[in-house]
Amino acid sequence: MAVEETDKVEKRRGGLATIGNALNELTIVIAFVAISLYLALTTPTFLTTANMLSILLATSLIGIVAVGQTFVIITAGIDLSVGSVVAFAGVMAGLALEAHWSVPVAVLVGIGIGALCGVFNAVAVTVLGITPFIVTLAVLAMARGLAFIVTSGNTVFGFPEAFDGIGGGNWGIFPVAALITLGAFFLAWIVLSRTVFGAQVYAVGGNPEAARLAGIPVNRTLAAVYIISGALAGLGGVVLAGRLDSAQPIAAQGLELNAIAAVVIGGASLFGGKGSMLGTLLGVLIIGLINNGLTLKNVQPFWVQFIQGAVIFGAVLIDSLNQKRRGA
Amino acid sequence: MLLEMKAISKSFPGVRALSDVDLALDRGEVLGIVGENGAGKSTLMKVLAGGIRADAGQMKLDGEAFAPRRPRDALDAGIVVIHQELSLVPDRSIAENLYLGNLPAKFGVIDRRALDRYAATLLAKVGLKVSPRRLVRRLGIAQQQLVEIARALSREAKLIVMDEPTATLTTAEQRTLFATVAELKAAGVGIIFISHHLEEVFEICDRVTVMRDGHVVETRPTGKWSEPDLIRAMVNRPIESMFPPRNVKIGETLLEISHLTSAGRFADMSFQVRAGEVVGIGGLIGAGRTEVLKAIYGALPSSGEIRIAGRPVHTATPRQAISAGIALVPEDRKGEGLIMPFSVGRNVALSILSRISALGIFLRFRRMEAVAMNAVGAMRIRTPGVDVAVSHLSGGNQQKVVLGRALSTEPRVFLLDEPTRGIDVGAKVEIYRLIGDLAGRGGAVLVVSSDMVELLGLCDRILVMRTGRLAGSLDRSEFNQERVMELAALT
Repeated sequence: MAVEETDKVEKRRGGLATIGNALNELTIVIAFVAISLYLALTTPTFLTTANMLSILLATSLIGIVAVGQTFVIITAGIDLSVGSVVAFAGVMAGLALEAHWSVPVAVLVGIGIGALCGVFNAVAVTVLGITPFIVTLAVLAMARGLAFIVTSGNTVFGFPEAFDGIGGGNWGIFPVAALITLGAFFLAWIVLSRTVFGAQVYAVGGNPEAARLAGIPVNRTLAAVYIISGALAGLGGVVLAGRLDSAQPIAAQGLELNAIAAVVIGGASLFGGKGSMLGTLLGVLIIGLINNGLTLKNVQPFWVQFIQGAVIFGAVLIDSLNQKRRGA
Repeated sequence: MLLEMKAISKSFPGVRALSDVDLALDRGEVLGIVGENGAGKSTLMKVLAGGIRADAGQMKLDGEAFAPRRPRDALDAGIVVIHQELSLVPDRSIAENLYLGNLPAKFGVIDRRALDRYAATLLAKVGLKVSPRRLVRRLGIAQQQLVEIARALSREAKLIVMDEPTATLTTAEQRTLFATVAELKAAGVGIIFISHHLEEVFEICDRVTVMRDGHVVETRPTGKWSEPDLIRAMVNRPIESMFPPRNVKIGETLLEISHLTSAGRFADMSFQVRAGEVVGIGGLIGAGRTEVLKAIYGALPSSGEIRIAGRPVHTATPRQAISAGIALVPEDRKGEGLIMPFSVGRNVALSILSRISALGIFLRFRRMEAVAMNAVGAMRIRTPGVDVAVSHLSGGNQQKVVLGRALSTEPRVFLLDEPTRGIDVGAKVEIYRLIGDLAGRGGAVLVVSSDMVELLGLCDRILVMRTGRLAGSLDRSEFNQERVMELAALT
């Protein structure tokens, strides 16, 4: 029968598709191992515990922000504002400390400011219907501006030890910041893969009109992802301020590029509907390895930026080619 | 002979898509190709159009060997394929789409006036009465299809393949298309016409070829086929009757619509659907039929009153409509019905995720799987499993997935928009049976369809819409095609 034969083909195609997906994640792992091997063989310092821990510490900020970015990108959106929000939230937490507010309150101020920026993005995207790219580009500039305005362009510094411990402290030999990042990844993994909300995020990214007609609260879901991204950027601001024992209005410039690169390297599609926390975690580690490698190999800082850009371009190119192949 | 295809074979991993297919077409001839989905019709046409290369076999065009290596070669040789899936640029005007790649220009600047004039002539040929400057995005699917046909005309094709061209056309549009086909035929163009609508095949084809499992079963002059013969040759099993018997007990009024209006779309719609009743909405494309369903479902803004079982319900969003017991199966399966990257199971369970999860938050994968398995059984969805991506299913099975989701919310009112568009005869019959069951269990079913046979066969009553208003209502005893057309088209 015709029907059974087509079913056979479809089963086979399903099998191939699964292998294709596995290949994608396998590719990330292979790239990870290859870069590590290269650095281990060509530099004396790469394999030292100190270097490993410094990679973890250095990538923790990208990681926290990439968690939020993953939610946004799965809905086919993008959040360019995260770097500026990190700076703005950081200086606001710093100012709270300067005003002798307690450490927990200052932390909440940082996260809250981030969440508020997220609310602004969310309202503009859902209620006003403006393209996420444009909205978050505007907020990128506005939040950065606010960070300068509230500090008059000065660095805020001299924080209590309890606050600095969040970003720069250690728990045993592990950096606290890295543990916070791992915690964020774990929670986000649960939310994305095991909850109704997570399924709705994928549905909205996969086909917003079908999702709406299926009764999914599309706007509420979209709003939530931008608020999550903002709040996590706020947390990132607190972590960064703690690590540096100071909050600067120029902090975290270009962070959005690193975070987006990590998410896309991790297999998420800028066309929406696809992505995972495990993939993003791998993507963050690869970005961390590349940055670390560039430092260890004493590559000129000018080249660092160029190479980071090229890595992003490569990841987006692969995504776009995949998309075309699926469309054909 | 215009075209000769000899012993064409093509295998894909695991399946022989075409084996030893012979086909011939004369100038000025219309050849129908029928067969169930997966019979090899589309593959054969892709070979002809240079989309894929055959493993074996030869083709001759105008007596000369013809072996297109890519679609461009076929196009240059005068072969135009009009696909089911449209290939227009939505944000450009109709005229620009018609002459894309060949825009009339003076000194490098597009000559708008010449463009509009050419375009208007072509549009008149296919009977599309809209301004050539209108953006394609603003056209309905049927109108876009007519634009595609107009574009084929502009390319002066000698062989046109029409793959399901009438799937979305109303009777009037279909008449225009057939008139166009007759003109092309008179001009010596060869036409291959692929359709699931057998009555159309009987009407316009000179010969009909039946394909099944990658083989040509038989080719006969149209007069030598009877409809039962043709269906038997296609499916290799007898089909008793397409439509379920309508002997359901009709109960109280379940859905009551009063003065429903959606500005710019339709106005003052008032009608009732009783429990156990299947009511059809007929009319031309653009008459506002889809919009009425969407307004009831809360997907379009509207004013007026909607009552279910006597109680007024407020449906400002699809979510509210679902909790009021209304389900919608939308017209555009891929664009509005399914989340393509999702599995069959997730698509089925999408509307009831919170209800079947723990605390309304955490997914319960076993419950989801059970719900999905249930639907796969009840709808007879042919799929290797509920974890397979829904994009791997055939059109008919995808449609059953959408229906399965609609049923999962346990609705009493069913709004079905073109429920059998572009799916094969076998799947159609099963969907008709399901619709019969829904009514049989006391549901109120409202069906929008452009397929007249379907409306007449399936419904207890037909409402006819014309330019956004209710033009009339026919009971089963008054059913006939002319009457529906009169109501739909009279001005």
